[in-house]
Formats: sequence, structure tokens, C-alpha cells
Amino acid sequence: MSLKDKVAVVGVGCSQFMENWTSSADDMIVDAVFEAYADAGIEDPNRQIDAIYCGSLYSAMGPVDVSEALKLYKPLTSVYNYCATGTEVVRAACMAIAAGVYDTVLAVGYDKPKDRGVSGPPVAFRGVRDLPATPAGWFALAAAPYFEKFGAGREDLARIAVKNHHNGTLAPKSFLKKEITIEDVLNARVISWPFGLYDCAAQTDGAAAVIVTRADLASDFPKQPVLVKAITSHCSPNPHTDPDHDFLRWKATEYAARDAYRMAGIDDPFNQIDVAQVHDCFTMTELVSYEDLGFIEKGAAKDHIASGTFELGGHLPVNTDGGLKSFGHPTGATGARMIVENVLQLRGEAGPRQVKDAKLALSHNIGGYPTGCAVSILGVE
Amino acid sequence: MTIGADAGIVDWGVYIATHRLPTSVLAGRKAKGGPERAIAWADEDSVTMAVDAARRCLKDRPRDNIDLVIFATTTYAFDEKQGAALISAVLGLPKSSRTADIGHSLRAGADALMLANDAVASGNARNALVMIADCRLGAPGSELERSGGDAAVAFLIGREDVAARLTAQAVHSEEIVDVWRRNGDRFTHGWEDRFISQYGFQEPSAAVAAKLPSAAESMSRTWALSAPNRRALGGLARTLGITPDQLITNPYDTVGYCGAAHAPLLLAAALDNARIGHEIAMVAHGDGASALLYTVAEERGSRAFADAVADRIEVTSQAAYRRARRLDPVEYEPADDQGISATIHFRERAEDLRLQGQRCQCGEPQFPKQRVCIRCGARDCFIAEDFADQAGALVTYTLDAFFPSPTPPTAVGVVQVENGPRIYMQIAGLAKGNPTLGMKLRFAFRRIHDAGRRPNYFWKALPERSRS
Repeated sequence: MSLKDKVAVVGVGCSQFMENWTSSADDMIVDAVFEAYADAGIEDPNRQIDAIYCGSLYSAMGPVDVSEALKLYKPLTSVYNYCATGTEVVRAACMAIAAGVYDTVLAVGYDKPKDRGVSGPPVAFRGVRDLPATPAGWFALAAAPYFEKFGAGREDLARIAVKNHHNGTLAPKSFLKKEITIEDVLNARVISWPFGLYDCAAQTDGAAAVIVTRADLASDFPKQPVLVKAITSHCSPNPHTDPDHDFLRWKATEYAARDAYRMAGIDDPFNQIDVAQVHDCFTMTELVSYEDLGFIEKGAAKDHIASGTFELGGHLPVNTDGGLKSFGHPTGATGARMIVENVLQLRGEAGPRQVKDAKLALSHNIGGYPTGCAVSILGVE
Repeated sequence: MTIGADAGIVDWGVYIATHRLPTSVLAGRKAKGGPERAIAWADEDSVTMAVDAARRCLKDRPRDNIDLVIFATTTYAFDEKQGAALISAVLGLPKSSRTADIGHSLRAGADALMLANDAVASGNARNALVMIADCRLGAPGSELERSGGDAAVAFLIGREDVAARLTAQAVHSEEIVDVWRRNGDRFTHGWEDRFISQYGFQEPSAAVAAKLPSAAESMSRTWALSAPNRRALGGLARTLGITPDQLITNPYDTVGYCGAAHAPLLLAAALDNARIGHEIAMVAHGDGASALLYTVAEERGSRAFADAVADRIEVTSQAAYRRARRLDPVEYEPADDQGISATIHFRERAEDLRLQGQRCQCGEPQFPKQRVCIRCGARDCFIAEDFADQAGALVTYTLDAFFPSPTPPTAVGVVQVENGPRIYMQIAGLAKGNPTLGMKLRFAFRRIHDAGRRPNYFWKALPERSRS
């Protein structure tokens, strides 16, 4: 059972990611999707698109946003998996094509959190004891055990933030185009120890669109086809109640990556993958993901961060467009935005942040407590 | 009235709010070792303090023979909804036990002790649990803000293994508007202090004390008096002809005046050091006064009161106190809505109130309760198990400043229960600096938030006490 080489990406589009005070979700969906239409040479979407898959965490209306915004009345499926939603939308679209149900599908991830009047994710009271419920608090739980075992600290996290801020300056549609220093990161106000403000992703509005088609039809589209080598998803037990968890990793990433490498036929990801977009909702998430994705051994991140392995120009550049940290994190859009960036990298269209001769690109989302992860691997011949 | 039966106090437990607010800090200055008061912190109230006192009182004692539960306080969150039933559920007491709240008066605790003793002496209850708790939150700038204290004390009343037998009791009821709180009032109102002192405290206390039988030649009598301050105490002592060595030392400079819990707190302190051949007389005023006379039957050599006084966290800034007690205006008041789903609370009440999880037939402990075992995958093969009295150890943590709290940052972590499951919960009572992985923890029942403008209770993990 594999999706390898059955589906190709033939068009991508992305709205500006920012605090879009003057744009609605509909506005951004139209920006992203019409850019993807143009990229794919689609002039008559009602004839050329067979179905829509979409995902959003903050939308009150769900699917209706997308069909109404585009005036594209097609079979429409709404997908939800916390911060992995964007990748899950594309995965669902790919599976529908591989199943032979549709030829060409539009996948849209979007979110508009900046109409709520508050910064950061919502903090809701549900059950009496479900507290405190903040993503920073959940993802921070890996820090103390990891720091103690491997001797890493806030400085190592800070270098990740500095890298992603730098990369964001090179991406036209990123939110934060501002270089920062390690001292900036260390001196920022604390959000949830060890995370300061600069250890946290920038929550923004945004939309990203990906058009996928049957691999054997891809040559009908104008751009160089980008093949889906693998796209996988995996759940793990809630780390809060998992009796065996060591808080040195997030198991969902290990599981989803293992499945993705098997599907894509990869046995040496560190040397075979040329560029990666890794879920950096918080700097610590990116740090453990280097290891959970099998790029490097568990505990080796500190040395690789120091030597620049994951910087532009390094052995395996990560978050070339600035990542969630700097490009922005409209939750439902993020996974789709990563696939947009990987497609640009594989086609050689990434401008000043281009990774030379990129042939294989990985993207990764993780969300929940965290409990769910999705991984994609795209490639060009 | 003298009492013939052999009922009395079997055991007792004391909880004094661990946060101590120095008078100097309250005045906006630095702490410098002067007088201070106990102040219930943001996650405490009379219910949580009563639970803590009761857990200490009932430690290693059976709970299935407690037939009556009384919660006495003037500070309880609900006008309609019982505290004793809530606390009974927390303590896992039999559902067939009679439960009652007694409130509305500073002598509520004394009256609760009388009623419980009557029920046990008459044979209608084998044992009774009486919990008396109060939070004396004074209006900002008031004398009560400085002199009040927050504490709870619990007594197990029975006829076997009695440490102090109730030998006489007396009541003097009086109508007086001296101190009062109307429905919805946050702070206590009072008339002129000399009027309160003479007619609210001195005269009824003296009247009721006079009804107690005089001490036998061979007995020495110790007095636990509910005087709200030193001057009032001295005045009543003179009236009754009590010498200073016959008074339980009043903790005005360490704990404060604890309202309905004050005289019972002194009673517990007296019991700690009681000697055979001693009597302890407790007098509590409020809408008149009530008096109880105990004869010591067994020396326990307990440290319930002294340990509770010693378990202390100093409040170092006035701002922290004001935030914890929500004394300052906020941008938005907490939403007045339905709050946490009552049906979710009802389904999960054993988990929330008793820290009850379960153990699978394969041996795997779990919290919260699940249908399917995370270890063996079997369905519905569980036996319920309470974990609140187990020790815990810290697996990981964060200090969350983003989570809205009156006392940020909120310490949260995963706690490994000894021989039990892992539980994701808040950690309280930390000293300055980060906690350490593996640190020993215990569990305490706390008010974790006020969604729906009502108290929502769950357990927190606290550092293990250094003293027992």
C-alpha cells in the first residue's frame, strides 16, 4: 500500500501571511487559490477541478467558506487534525486521486485567527481539570527532561529562532522580516518556560492552496510536475497519560516519519533529503523533530545546531521560508504552506533562499498535546 | 448542662493557610519579621482548607463508620448547594452519612461540635466528622485585613478511643447587629469596635462561661477563647478570673483571628499538649456565645497546630496578595455563564474530587478512567482506585505565563503517582526557582479555577512536607 508516484502537484499558491486586519478568510482563500490556478494553467476551474479538500481550525463556517469564496460548487470535504490539518488536507486529496475517484483536486488550508482580538491560541475551559490548556505549555514539557539528559539549553533553542528569522527575511510572503539575535531571544518575556516570546511561532492569518492530479496526467500542466513520494499521518498516545513516555521526543513524529520513509523508499534521510520544512510551533519542537525525523541521532541536535547543519547552505536546510516562527502560523494553512515552499524549492523557484539542486523535500506537522503528526515527501526526477 | 455519656474528641487535624502575609508587606513595605497573618491563596477557600484539615484528622483511621458530617463556616461559595456533601465525596465518606452545613455565625463551629457530640452520645451516630473553616478577608485598608486569619480544623467525634470527653456545654443566644455580611457581600461590616467588643463578645462569652461547672479541686482548666484581639482577650480573662497561664496562646501575630475556626483552632492546640487531669474550656462568640468543656482522657502529644503554623510560605509583595485575592479591577470580569458542563462534572466527579482512576486486570494503573486499557487493550476490565493519598514524583514541567491565572506563572507538570498512573496537573507551593525533575510530591485538593463564577475543584501536586 503506497501512494508513491501516483499523484503529482501541478499548482501551488499562497496568500500573504500576516495580521491581515483588512482581509477576510474569503479574501485570502481567493488570493491563494487563484495563484494556484495560474500556476497550474487552470482557466476554467469548474471544468478542471473535480473536488475540494479544505481545513481550518478557527473557521466558524467550515467548508462553506471555500466553496462560496471561490464560487466553486464541487464535492467538498473538510479535514481536521489540529496543527497537522494543512498536510492532512493534501493527504486526503492524494488518497482520493490514488483511489481513482477524482483526477484533479484542489486542497486549501486556511485560518483567520486575528479577528478574535487576542494574541496567541485560545485558552478554553472545558472539563474541570483540563487545565491549563495552552500549546506552549504542552510542547514545553519536552524541555526539562531533554535539557537534563543531553545538556542542551535555551541558547540552543535561541539559535533555531535566529535561523528561522533570517530565513523569513528571504521569503516575500513571510510575516516577520526581521533579523534577531540570541540575546533578543533570551531576554524576551517568558511565555511558558523555557519558551520566551521568540521561541513561539508567530500566529497570523493566511491561506495556502495545492492542486494535485494523477501522475500520468501531470504533463498536461505547464509547470514541472512534483511527485508525491509519500504522505503519511500517525497518532500517538497522549503524552500526559502515556505511562512510558520519556519526554525526549514526540512519538507521533517518529511513527509518521518511519511510515513516510518506508513509502518513499528512503533509508538515509539525512543524506537523501535535500530540504525540509519542520513544524516549529516552538523552537523545542523543531529541535526534537531533527531527531524524531531520523535526520540525526537522539541527543545530537545541540552539536548540529551549533555547526549550522540546518541553516541555508548547511547539509540539510530546514524551514527555508522562515517556518511557523517567521513566515507565520495560520494553523490550518501551515501544512499546505510547507508543501508550497517545497514545490518552489524542487522547481528551483525559491529565489534567494533556493537550496541548490533540491530533488527530495520533506514537510512535517505535529499537533494536539501533541498527539498527531503528518509528513509529506515530494520529489522531482 | 453536664453530659453523662462518654462521647468526645477522638482525633483532630489542623490546616492553616500556608501563605503568610506580613503586616509590613500589606502596608507596601518589605517583610522584616514582624507580625503576619495566614491568607488563603488564590486556589484555596474554606472547602479546600476543611478538606486538608479533615485528611490530617482522618489519617490512618477508618472512614466507613462516620455517620454524620458537619461543615461549619461563614465563608462558603454557595447559598444553595451543600458543602458537607461535597467534602464527603472528596473524602470518600459513606453516602449514607448525614451531612449538614452550619453557618451564619462566628459560633457555628462550637455549635457544630455540640450537635455532633449529641448525635454520637445519643447513639444515633457512631462517629461524626466536624470541619470548621473560615477565611477572614477584610476590606482593603480595614483592621480585619491586617488581623484576620484563614484556617481550618477538623475533629472526629466518637465514643471509642476518645482523647477528650465533652463533659459540659452551654449556650447563650443573643440578637445583636455587631458584625454582619449580607447576601453577596464580600467583606464583613461592623459597628463601632467598643460596642462589638462589649456586647458582641465580652458579655455573652462571660454569661456562657458562667454556666459551665466550676473546676474540681483536682483539675486544672485551660481556656480556648474566641477573642478577636489581645485587648478583648485580656478583658474577658479578667472578667472570668483566668490567669495568663490558663489561656491557650493566641496566634494573633502568626495566623490571625480565624472567625468561626478561631476557638476550635485553639481547642486543637490545647489538645495537642493536653495532660490527664486537665480540662479544656472552649468559648466561641457570635450572636451570643457557646461554651464546651472537655476533660482530657488520653494524652496524644500531637503537633497538629504547631506543624500547621510552621508550614509557611511568606508573601513578599502586596501586589501578589492583591492578585491572589482578586482585589483589583480587571479588564474583564470572569464571564457569568453556565461554566463547566454540569453533566461532565457529574460523570467525572470521582476523578475530580477523589483523584480516582482505575487499575486494569493486567495491572496497568490509569488516570483518567478509560474504557480501553492503554497497555493490554482489554475493554472494561478495571477496578477503581483512589490516588490522592499516594506520593508522587515530578516527570516533567513547565511554568506557563500564558495561561490566565491570578498568580502567574502556573506550574504544570506530569506527575508519576507511586505505584500508580501519570497525571497531568498543576503544581503549587513551589519555592522560588524551577522545580527539579524527580522531586517528591503529594496531592492537595484545590480550587483550580472559577469558570461560571463558581469554584471548580481538582487536585494539585505540592512539594512533600519536610515535617510530618
